[in-house]
Amino acid sequence: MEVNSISIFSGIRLRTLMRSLIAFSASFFMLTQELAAQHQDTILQLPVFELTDTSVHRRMPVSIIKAGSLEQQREADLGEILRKQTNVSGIRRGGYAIDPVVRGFRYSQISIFLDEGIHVEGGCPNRMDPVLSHIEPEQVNSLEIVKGPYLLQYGPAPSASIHVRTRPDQSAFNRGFHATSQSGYDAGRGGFKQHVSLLHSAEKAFLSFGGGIKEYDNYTDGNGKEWNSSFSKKDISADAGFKTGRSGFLILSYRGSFGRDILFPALPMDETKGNTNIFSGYFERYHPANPEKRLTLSAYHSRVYHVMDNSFRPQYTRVVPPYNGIMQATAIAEASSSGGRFSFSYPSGNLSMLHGIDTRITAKDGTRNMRMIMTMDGQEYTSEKSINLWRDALIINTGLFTSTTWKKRKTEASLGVRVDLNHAESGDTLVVEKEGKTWYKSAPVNQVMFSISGNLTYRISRKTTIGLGLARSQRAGDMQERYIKFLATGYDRYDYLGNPQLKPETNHQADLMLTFRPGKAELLLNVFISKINNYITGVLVPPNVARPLSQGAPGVKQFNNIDAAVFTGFETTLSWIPFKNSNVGISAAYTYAYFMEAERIILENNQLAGTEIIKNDPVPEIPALDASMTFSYKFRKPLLSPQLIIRAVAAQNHVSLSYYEEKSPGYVITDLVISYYPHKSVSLAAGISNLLNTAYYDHLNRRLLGSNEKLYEPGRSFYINIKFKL
Amino acid sequence: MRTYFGILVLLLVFSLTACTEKESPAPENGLKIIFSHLAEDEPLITNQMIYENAAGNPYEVTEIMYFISDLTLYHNDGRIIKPSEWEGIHYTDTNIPSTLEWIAGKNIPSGLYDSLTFTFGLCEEQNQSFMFVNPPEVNMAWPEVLGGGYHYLMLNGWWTDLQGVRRPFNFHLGIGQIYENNSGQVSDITGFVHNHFTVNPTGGPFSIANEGITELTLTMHIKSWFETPFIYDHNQWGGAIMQIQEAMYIGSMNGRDAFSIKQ
Repeated sequence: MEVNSISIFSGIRLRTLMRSLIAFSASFFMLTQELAAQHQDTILQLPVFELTDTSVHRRMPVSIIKAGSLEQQREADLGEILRKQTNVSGIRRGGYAIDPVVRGFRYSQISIFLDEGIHVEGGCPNRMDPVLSHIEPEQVNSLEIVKGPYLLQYGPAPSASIHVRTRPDQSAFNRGFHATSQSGYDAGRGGFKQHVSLLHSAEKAFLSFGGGIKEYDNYTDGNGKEWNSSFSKKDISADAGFKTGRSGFLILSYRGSFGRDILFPALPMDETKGNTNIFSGYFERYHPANPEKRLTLSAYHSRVYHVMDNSFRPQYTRVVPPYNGIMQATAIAEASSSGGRFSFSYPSGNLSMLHGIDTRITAKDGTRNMRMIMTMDGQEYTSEKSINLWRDALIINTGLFTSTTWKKRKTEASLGVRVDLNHAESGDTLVVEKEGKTWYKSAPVNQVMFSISGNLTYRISRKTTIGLGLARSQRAGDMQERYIKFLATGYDRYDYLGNPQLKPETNHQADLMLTFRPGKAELLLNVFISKINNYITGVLVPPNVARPLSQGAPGVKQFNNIDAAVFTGFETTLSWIPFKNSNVGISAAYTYAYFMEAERIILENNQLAGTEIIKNDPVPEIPALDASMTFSYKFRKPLLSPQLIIRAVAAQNHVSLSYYEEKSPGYVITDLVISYYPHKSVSLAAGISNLLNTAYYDHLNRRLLGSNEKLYEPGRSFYINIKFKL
Repeated sequence: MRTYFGILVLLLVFSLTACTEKESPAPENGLKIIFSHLAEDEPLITNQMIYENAAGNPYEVTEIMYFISDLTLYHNDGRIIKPSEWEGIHYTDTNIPSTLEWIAGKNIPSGLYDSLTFTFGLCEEQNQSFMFVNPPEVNMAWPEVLGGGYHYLMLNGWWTDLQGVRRPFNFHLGIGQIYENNSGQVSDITGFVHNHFTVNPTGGPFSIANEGITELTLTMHIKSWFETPFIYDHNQWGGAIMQIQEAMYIGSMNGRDAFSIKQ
């Protein structure tokens, strides 16, 4: 029997902590001296550990990030910003588009949507463009991360939800003329960003426009190594709002995002072009005397055009041993998502009721072209092949949902129910059969899914609240899991083959939440356990049945349901005000996940030498124990707030044997941020990320293609963000 | 509330104490094929001009790469066993020692076997372009315009021609082409010939044990490629034969008796 142990915070030393504190104190002293003469009277907003007490907070495990926090970040990518949240991490494949992982759940296990349920289907089978990469941080009003299958009103919510709010709210009708400019420079990678937005509102209408550019060069890690991670992005947005009578309004919105030459050193190709267009409309009508009586109607269409190739790689133009030919690959994918949602809510006695229906139609099509140029016997020969990645793949999901919230004295409860009908089909002509067994054959599939969630909160005392969440949620296989054909989409470099016959994955989850507020502090503790039946993951296919088509892929895995995976862990945060204007925040999170039974392929000389069953094998790509400490102080005159953030991540030794996953060392990084408000129209955030220039990588970072070397995180970087608003 | 709390705590404690453990695999048997290469009945010595073929060409061998597939075993009770359910194609490369052993199958019926056969190269159905994308197999690619798929064999070396000049030869087998008017021009190709062939190596019966790995040595007799039934003369065919179907036909005929097995 082999027992995996967890070594906590390997690498954290007292000396490191002392160095961080000394650096912090020195910076703090210098800046207070310099800026002491200036003063303004604006309310400061701390980026993290805000004291919040909303009914949603008590009932659900949720993190909220507001636009004010996003503006202060060095990172130009929402996925990277999200990694700072408790028990949220991300998969890094390059310098942009980090793919979020919440409590170890990823990809379609997380429902990511905009506003009233706008979904975006990424075009890239390698996940170069996860959902959040289609939205720029400057377009976001707030982000809500619900850790669990509790948010059932916006589509199936498998294991977590990320709700991105981009649409102006009703207050946009009363704001007159507004102009905002946000600029940022990241010295560590020569990154420049600029975003401008304009809003003009009259009494019954408003119009807003926004647009921005981002040009980022390669970053350098703490060892001084430069990683091919540059990217270029442009975005544009427009909203038009109209009041319809005394108690209704309509908002029409457009969001566009255009990426060029986004490099991914961990993937076999880079994104050379990515165009995203999102059109949406939202109508709301409410009772003038009772705004809780509300009716909403929304519709959207999002379209993604994605081109990737290996033209930035040496093998595109010359022979790179051990290959004896020039290898060129291009893939083009088009994806669209269209849908609508209707809901109405009303109070009924002690109950708040919400009912509705939503639908989502996802379509995807894509082709990969491979070209090999070889010289044999003095002659040059070119061989080409095109294969479908998807062919007219279509998934239609329609759901009915209802939820109710009940509140009485010390108790608050909510119940949500959702029923989905999921239809999937594809125009694939590929059939994979071997000796009577059909491995891949596309046929229309209809599935009915049932989800239910309940939350109960009880205020034990004035200071203490306890909450319990129980949920059962289902999700159907996504486009990748059902219809992808031979592309390395996972972390293990195997080519993946879809499985049209996948059963829905079912998550049974329980959360126990405790809130304790003794005076000037707040302690939140959340423990959770989740058992997932029919967990969708890759299972190795014999080479006799299918061979990989991606360079470097050792074989083919097909998505299959396996029973079962268990995820458990905790999140805790402590926010404490030790003295006036100061704040200390401490947070920690851990997820422990394993398959109850997994088959491991034993390979010798890259050949099958046997199989073995591993019980309680860790699920791959689970983030390690993570903790952070934040110290901040608000100066009133001048109006500035320095903040020191120390983040420590433990080594990840709890790794999957069946996936041949490698262990990762722990690390400690320190960031320094100073927010300064010289004028009510000007705000400035400057800082040094990775102050000690630590060379490190996260457990979820992918490996550099063709090697076992993990992608390192950026080294020390000075940055500055300035915002002007009129 | 207390009941829920209790259940949750118990589940958490149970989950966090779950230990990873391996289940002992059931006993199984297997067949491992070890590849050897003989020249003039002695282990091949590469890069030395010490051999002479039946046509009288002095030659040396630099490297040999080839595919075998569709391994079939003939049990003496009449059963026909195809052991390679996992990987039916094996690539052998004298430059890569790990390819000189092949675990051809697991859980094979034990007992006495009369013989075995295999396909030298890849049959028409299997031989698809871009089937291999990684080295070393990808480097066996056969040009699409010449029929596509992969080389069955690359036997590379040098021979001394009639003028005493040391010249390279690429004795390559793959899909052959039929040219209009024997022009040899790619634009004149009118059809293709699949030159793969079945080999029934000499060496007689062998047995497979009930447990453990049974080893069989499969030997390639290099000189056979150049004799029986046809004498192959490098001076006649030259150094490159990918576009000479007649030469490849001789190779595909001569290769049928180029292998033997030994237990």
